Amino acid sequence: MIGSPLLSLLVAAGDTAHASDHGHHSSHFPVALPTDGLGYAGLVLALPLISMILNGVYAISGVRSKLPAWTTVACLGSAFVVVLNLYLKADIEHPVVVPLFEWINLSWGTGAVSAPFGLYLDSLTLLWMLFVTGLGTLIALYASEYMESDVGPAYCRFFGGVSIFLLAMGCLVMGDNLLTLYLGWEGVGFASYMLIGYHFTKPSAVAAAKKAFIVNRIGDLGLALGIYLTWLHFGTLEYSTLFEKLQADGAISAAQQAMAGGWEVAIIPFLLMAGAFGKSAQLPFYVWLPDAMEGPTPVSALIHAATMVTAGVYLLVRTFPMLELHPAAAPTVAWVGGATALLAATIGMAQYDIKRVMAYSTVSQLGYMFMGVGVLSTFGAAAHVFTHAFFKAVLFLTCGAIMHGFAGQLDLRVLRGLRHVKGWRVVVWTMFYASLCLAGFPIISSGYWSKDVILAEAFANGRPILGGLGLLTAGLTAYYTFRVWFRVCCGPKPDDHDLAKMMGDDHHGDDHHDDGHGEEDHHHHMPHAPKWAVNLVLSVISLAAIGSILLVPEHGWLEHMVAKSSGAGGVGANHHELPADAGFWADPHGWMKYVASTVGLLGMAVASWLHLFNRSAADRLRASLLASPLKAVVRAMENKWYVDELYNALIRMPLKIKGHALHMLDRYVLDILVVDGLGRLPKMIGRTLSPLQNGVLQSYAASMAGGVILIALLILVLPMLLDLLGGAA
Amino acid sequence: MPPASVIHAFTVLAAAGLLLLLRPAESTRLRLVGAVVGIGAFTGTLAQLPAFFDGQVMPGGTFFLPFALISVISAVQMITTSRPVYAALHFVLVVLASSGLLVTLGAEFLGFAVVIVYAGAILITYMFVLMLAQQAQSPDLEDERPTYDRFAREPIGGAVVAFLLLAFMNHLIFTGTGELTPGDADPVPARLAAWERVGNMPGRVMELVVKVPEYEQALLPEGEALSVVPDPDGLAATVTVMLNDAQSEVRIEGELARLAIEDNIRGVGVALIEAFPVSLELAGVVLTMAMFGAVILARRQIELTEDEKREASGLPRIGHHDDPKGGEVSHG
Amino acid sequence: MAEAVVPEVFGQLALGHYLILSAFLFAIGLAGFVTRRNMIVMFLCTELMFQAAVIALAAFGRFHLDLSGQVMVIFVLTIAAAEAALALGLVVLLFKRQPTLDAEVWSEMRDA
Repeated sequence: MIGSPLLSLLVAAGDTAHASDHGHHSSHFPVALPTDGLGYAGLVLALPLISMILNGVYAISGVRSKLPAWTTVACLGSAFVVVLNLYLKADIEHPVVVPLFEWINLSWGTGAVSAPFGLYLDSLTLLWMLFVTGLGTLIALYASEYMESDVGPAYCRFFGGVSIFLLAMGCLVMGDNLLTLYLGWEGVGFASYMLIGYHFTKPSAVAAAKKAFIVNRIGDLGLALGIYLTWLHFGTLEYSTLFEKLQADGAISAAQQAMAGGWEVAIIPFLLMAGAFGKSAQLPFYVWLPDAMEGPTPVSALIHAATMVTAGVYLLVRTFPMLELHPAAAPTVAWVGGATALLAATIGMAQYDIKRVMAYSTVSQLGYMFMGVGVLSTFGAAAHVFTHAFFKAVLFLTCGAIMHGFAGQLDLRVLRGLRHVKGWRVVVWTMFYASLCLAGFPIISSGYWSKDVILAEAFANGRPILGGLGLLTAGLTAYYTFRVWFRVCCGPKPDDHDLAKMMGDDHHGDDHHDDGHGEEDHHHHMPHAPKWAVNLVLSVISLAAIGSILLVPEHGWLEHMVAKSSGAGGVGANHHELPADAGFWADPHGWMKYVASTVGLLGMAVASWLHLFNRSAADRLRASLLASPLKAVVRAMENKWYVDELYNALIRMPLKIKGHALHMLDRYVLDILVVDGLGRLPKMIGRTLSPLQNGVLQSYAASMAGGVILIALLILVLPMLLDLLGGAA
Repeated sequence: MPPASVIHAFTVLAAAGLLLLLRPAESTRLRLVGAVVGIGAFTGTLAQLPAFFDGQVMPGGTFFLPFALISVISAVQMITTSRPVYAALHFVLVVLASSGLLVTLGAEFLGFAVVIVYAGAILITYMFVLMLAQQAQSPDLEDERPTYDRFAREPIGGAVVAFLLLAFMNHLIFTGTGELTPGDADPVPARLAAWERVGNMPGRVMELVVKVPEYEQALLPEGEALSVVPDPDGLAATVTVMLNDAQSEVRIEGELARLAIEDNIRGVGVALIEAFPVSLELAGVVLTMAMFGAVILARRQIELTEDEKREASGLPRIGHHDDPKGGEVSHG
Repeated sequence: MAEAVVPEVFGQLALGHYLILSAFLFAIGLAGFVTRRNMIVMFLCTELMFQAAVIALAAFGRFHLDLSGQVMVIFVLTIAAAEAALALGLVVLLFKRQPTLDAEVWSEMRDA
């Protein structure tokens, strides 16, 4: 292969580049080489496109079966197969660029912008696409049963939306330049909007979709500006050339480049991270994610747990070298991530809607991922993305199954004892395993391994406070996760009467029920257990979560994948040589396992005491807290720390007032003064001049004399005017 | 040039004066003040001139100021009096004063013509109309004067407009006339032109020749002027005449020459025919049209019936084909 | 032409003096026209304005030693006479309609 000597040179250079200062070293990773023979990679994008078109056709032609679902599953499954093939065929040691077609190519006198539509396949891409397409296929299968009550045009719309989403996600992850990434970015935003607002007759769903889109947009602005400044300074948008430039002249590091370029270059990482925060629901942009639960559960599982929200993490890992352009960039990411994690965990602890709890949990775990990126551990972040995708998908899907079976009932104060109910076994026990992962149960859960990496790296990067926050959040996470599971799945076995009372009042599938019997009949409906598709999917994903235990730990497959990509700077950045007699506590990678496990088990223990063994203890605790001076804190937690209300007051209200003020201005000033005024002007002129025609001879004579005087004045003044004009001209 | 503010100040003063005179208040004291102010303004404006205009000598000298004052005072009285007949009479005074000024300007013909036409014709006509409108009233019935005579319509408005115009004209006079070159600067070309005019009037030449002392009796029967050759300075001329079949040269000089070239009436006449013949004809046409117009306007408007019109023009009445007049009106 | 025998009171007499006089007479005539309501007096004021023009024309003619000024005065006279005749005829006509010489009773004769 061309470039092998070059390649070995680069690898060697990379190995010696481990600096001893805290994380500020320029890493060297392989730069892309073009290749042939991988043109079929474009299929990964083409297949969702075909699915989208077919779904559109189904919608128009009024298909009323599950055909859209099967089409989508087939296309996405094939896409997964293609990705797998690419992974096996491609040489992951160095990235390849697969050009597809000419997209944007502008040039003018002094500059040029070129963004060919191509695919950049490196190990990071393949890693991401593997779980995106895999989970996409599985969740589409799940949705084929979940959405079955909506068969008809709405069903086609749903699967069309899913296809659009996967197409856009593919663009985002596999694109070879920042513009393709941006295209995919906006595409997933749109798909998210479309799918959250799936039940568009519900005002709350519509509002949630708008909120998601608008808040995302704010982040997108930062991303767009970042891309523009990147192009401005580096002159290119394509990853291959960009990374070359960032590593150019070995001796000049990115930080030095930033100093040469001024604030416009130093601000790039901050703008990019603003985009990432918007898309991945970090402070201060996280407010859209909990409301996004208005969408159907498969949507929440796919988009808002596993794939779209990780796009932000992907962005930062992909452009990791640019984080070095400003020394405060990485710490900012870390602190924002850490703060978000803690905040979301506290809110999640006080919610009663299990889907909301899961949503805040997602926000919190995303915080972990960003914290990972910020402490210069892209490996940790990618690992957590990977594991979180699986177990969070399972958690959401089980919540969805419960919601579907219990006609919309999601309140954990009402649901109980599910593990004793026939037909719910798969749901209950997959949920148990996923909860273990989320809580970080030692060794047997995948989440434990990935979270451990992040926390250890935090301490190794010299940020103990952040690490401490992470540990605290881990404890809270364990608590609220098992609060849910103990409440919903454990407890005394409910009899039929109890089950009937637990039902929600979601009029699901009204089109094949006749509700003419009246309200009492609802209570005679029983929860229906999930069918084969749901159970199959839950099982498969759980198995994948178990399997990821093998892939995730340090020096494993995943680390290798990240290290061969542009995120290589975050692999092993915090590893230092330690003196031989440093002691046990010197290397966080050693003791973090034990500390994290302890914290997690502690959280689980508290949850079991409050919710499993002594169910009313939680209520008593809450009552006593409310009576004590801490009641403001409790209320605030239950009300999500009033963040939405704060935004309403700070941003929405002023804008609304401004809008009203401008409306008043328009109505009373512009309309009356300008528009009407212009209309009245001729009338007023007429009225002013009409007394000149009064029929009295003498006044006409006086007017004539006045006219003569005016003309005379003009003649007198004319030379002066001409001089003035001549002098001015 | 005297500063513009000074001139305009006098204009304002004049306006104030006129306003005081126009006010319907019968107080004599106010009118006196107004008169004084007005006259002062007028003379003040005139007094600004000598500082500026040098070498533009006009004839008139002492006679100018009295005539000017008379005309201005009469004009003001004309517009402020409440009796129309008095207004007409004051206008006559104005005409007479202007006639005097015309005479000092060397336009003797015009001086007389103006008196004849205005005072003699136009104002008489005005008098007739005033009598027709029963406006001539005895001074005893002071209170029976109609309101529209006693009170000025809009004194302030009128004064403002008029004196704005005056200000403009004053400005022009003070700034513009300095650039004009007088004809007096070199009187020779004017004299030569005058001799040429005289040369175009053979009869006139003979009259002059007759007045020359040597030729007084000799030329009574006949003679014919052949040519007039003026001296280079124009003060005298040599006339070649054919006297009793003998050509001789006559010298016209001195007082006679002066009379010859400064004969105003003949000069105006020749200029009229020479330079403005068409205008002369048109003036005649205008006068004729005016006469026709006046006659038509002054006709008595009688509404005639159709029958009366037909009778007046000699046509048979409707229905009667034989007898244009008389007969009974059986159907009308 | 009359030569100055007696010394002038004013310094040198110039064209400007005559023109100032003409301007004043014109202004007075205009003021009178605008101020008076008697129709006949109004026409007298127009005649006054004509007089002012006559003086100005004659002065200019003398200034330039051109007899055209005086010729124009003759025409002015002609027009003034014609105008007086017609004006008075109109006044008589109007008087027959309304037995008053007030010009303001005729203010209905206007556009709109």
